[in-house]
Amino acid sequence: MPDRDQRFNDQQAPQPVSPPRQEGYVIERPSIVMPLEQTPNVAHAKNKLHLFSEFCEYPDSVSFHDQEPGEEVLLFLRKSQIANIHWIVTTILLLVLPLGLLLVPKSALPFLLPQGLLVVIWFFYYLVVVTYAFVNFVIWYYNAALITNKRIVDIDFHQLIYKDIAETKLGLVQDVSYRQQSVVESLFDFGHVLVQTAGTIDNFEFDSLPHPERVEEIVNSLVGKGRVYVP
Amino acid sequence: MSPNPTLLFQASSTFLLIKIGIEALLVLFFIFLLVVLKQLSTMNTIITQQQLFNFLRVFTFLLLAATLALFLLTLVLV
Repeated sequence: MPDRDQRFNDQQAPQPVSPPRQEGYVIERPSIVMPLEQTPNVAHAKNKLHLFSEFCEYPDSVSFHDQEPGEEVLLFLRKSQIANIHWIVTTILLLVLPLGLLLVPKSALPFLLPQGLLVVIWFFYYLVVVTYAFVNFVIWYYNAALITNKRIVDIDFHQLIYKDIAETKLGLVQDVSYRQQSVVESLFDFGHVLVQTAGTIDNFEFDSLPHPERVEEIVNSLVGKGRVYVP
Repeated sequence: MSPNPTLLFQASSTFLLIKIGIEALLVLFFIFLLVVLKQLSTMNTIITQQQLFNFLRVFTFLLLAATLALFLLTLVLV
């Protein structure tokens, strides 16, 4: 009965031993929790990154200029959408502002502009407003942070011209902390994440990041200070 | 019989200045959009999200086309 013997041998096979628990370690999530550095090398399900994504774990179709072979983007971050409120409100106000001019009676104007000039001015005005919103969106879109299994990359893009790309190896990260300092930040779950690095290397500061607690948890797990949920 | 103030304004040098000013602004705006397009390409080499980049590039091309159309409209209508 080779089948029965084989089944018996399988039952007697030694079970995998779970790693010893560390002192002072708190498991916050009841499901499968393990240190990220000890996770088996499995292909994670990729998440679709869309135009307005601000927080995406295991994003698909994202790469960066000096990505190394075998380097995987674990987390893709942009500023929270709430940080865009000021220019969205400004754009809406600018869009409705000229409509107020329609309420002014023609008799109150010193003279009427020619119809052709009016059309051109209105068209140009709305072109500028749309471009203002578009440029602000592009600046938000390219202000991103990437956390890979090897490093942290911070891409700053300001005023269309200025760009600053900084990165640090995970081995140089000493501490990660986050701060939520207002009701709005707590309400919409975004905040300030500080990554402290060793030596003379500048610290990394990320403003208005969504889900800062989760970001801190993931980075801590990568540098061996915590554990992370593996889906 | 008083002259039409709109026709008077249209014949003035102020009107000519406004027209030239708008045309100059449109040219500057066109150059600015070209800079935006260039920066989009530059940033796309730093961080690549190909499908979304294509969307942004198409939108910039639309803005460029609208600016060009407006420039032509200024020449014809004004």
